[in-house]
Amino acid sequence: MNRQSNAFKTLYAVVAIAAIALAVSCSKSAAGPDPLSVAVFVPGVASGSPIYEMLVAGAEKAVAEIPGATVKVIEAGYDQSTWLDSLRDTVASGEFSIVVSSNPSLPELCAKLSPDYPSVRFIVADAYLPGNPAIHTILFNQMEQGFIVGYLAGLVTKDRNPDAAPVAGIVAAQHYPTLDRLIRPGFEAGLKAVDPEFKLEFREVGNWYDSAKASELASSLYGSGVEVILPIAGSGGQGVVASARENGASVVWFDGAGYALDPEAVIGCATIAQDRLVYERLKAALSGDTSLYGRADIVSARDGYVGFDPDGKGYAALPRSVRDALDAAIAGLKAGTPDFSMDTF
Amino acid sequence: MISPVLRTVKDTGASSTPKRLAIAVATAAALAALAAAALSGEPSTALRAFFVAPFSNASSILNMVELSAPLALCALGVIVTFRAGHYSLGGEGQAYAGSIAAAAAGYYGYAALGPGATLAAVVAGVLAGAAVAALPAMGRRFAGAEVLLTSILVSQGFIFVIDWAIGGPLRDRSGNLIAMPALETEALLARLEPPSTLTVAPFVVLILCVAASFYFERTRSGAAHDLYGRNPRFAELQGYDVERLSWAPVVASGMLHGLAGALMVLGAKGTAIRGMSGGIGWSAIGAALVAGSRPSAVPLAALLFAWLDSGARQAAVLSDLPPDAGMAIKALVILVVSSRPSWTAVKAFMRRTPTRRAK
Repeated sequence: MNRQSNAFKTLYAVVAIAAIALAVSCSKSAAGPDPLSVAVFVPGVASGSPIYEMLVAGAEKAVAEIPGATVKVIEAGYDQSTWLDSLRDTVASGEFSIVVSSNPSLPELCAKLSPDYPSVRFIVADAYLPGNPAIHTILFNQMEQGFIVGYLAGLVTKDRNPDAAPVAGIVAAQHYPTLDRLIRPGFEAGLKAVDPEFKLEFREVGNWYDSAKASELASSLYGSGVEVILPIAGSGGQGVVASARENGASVVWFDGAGYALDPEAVIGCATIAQDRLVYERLKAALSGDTSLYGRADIVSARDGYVGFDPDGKGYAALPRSVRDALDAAIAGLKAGTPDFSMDTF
Repeated sequence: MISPVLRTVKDTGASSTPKRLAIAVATAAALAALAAAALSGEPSTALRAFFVAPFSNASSILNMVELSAPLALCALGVIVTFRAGHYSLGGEGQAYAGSIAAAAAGYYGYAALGPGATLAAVVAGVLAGAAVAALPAMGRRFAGAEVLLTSILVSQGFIFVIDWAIGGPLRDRSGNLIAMPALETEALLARLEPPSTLTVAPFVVLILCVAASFYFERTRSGAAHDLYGRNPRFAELQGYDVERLSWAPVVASGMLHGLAGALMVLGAKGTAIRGMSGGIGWSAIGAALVAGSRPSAVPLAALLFAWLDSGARQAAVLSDLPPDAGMAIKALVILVVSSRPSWTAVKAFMRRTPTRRAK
């Protein structure tokens, strides 16, 4: 028993001395991070996620054009409860002066950390947080994006079932402000621009990855007469596409690259130029433009950051009249009709 | 029939804890090195990230110490219940309940109590953990139900309900995370050494571990607790209060898990986030195993696990090591540490077999 206690005392003494020695030695080295060192923080997994693939591509392109700049891609996975810890590790490593990311949740996490790590700057796309001098956010006008796919969903529904009660669906991962205040109202506005009688059915998956549950929800919607669904469910959206294929129905996609999932079931993709946006903003930051920080910009179809991808088999198979009507609507949107412009969010 | 692993968690006691800790540290270090070499395209960077980065500045070290505190409390809870022979596997739900209760009390109580909401949050967390543990404890006390089964069933049920509550009625709709509203800074535990996340939590852990050590090794109640865990009938014949021991350790364990959940909310996270308890119940059993069921060894065992988590995350940040590597290494460490009693059991079985045959 005494030997045991002595062993413990020795063990704790060694740990305590080591901790004190480390803390003292570490406190002497306080050099700041390389100002051209960039971390791309992906709150998920980049591969298979178009929006994060564009984030990485844009950042890598900007870094490649600035001599001496370096970039490291950090994938934090889908568990939101671990993002803060991962982000803290990223900034606390002292390796990065700029953290680039894309997700509406990120600014609040960055804002928690920025007072503790004043030398680090954050650029977050697809998000909105004004007034923090360490953070630059850029929000896509997703009401316009929602309007484009809503209008297409309305046209296709009316074309296929002209006499049925008009209805379309959204299968979303969860409620969040951008969805509730931009995407859903925009989608609904697009539907009602085709026919004011349109009804919107909304279903919630509860997470961003459960494609089986998303597929179940989509199947029930298709079974009840919905012809077109907009999934906003991350990788769960693939379940909606699978259900559309099984039910001979259709999907409109958000944020690009949806045609690759199923060239026939996916009939249209609203796009954002995330790669271009990240490239431009990061390159400016690396070139020394500090005026970005503290700003929360909103970019739109008029600037060319929100658009539509017509290069899909599913879209090409739609009747000419539908495609012409959509082209006209997009042209009108770019010209400001309807006007979804906003200065704040 | 108690499995060799559970028996070891319960009562390894005095003989081999420093050795067990040393084996765990050596195994973890070897596996981390192996993972860095095998899974990373930049092995030297991954190795540096795993072994150097978590200790590269005072802030990282203190973050790791803070990270270890809730895990240590849960491990202490595991020891309290396992040493009484109650194999409660419900720690995850108890900690999660502590988190949601603390977040609710801290947020809604702030208007009325101001900074006093911190204490209210701690009390709410402890009571919530105890409440979740009370169900299997009462089942044991009044119906003789096996805690091993009831604790995990009750815990899992609560996890589903809490997930729903955080994502539903209690969710902060103005934010994008699936989380409750953030607590006011004044309601959180004060940070002792910014920018690190260190709070008073690790010191609370140390005090409780010393108290638990004293209880088990120096008090008659602690001896009764251990004796009941080894042989309830014998404890009864000795005149100990076995009715109390049939439920109280389970509730005490729930209180410690609830406190751990509350400290998570009152520390760096600042609120209850859906899924935030992720795996702490399982990790706590592993830490208790590494600590050889000795409360005095719990802080070191928890620190080892915190290093694995922190090292794996740093390796994912600074190199291309998969972020889940830390979890896999943790699992293998538990496997190695628990293999010794399993091997002992195999040897005992082998020794018995020829004797039986001879008979």
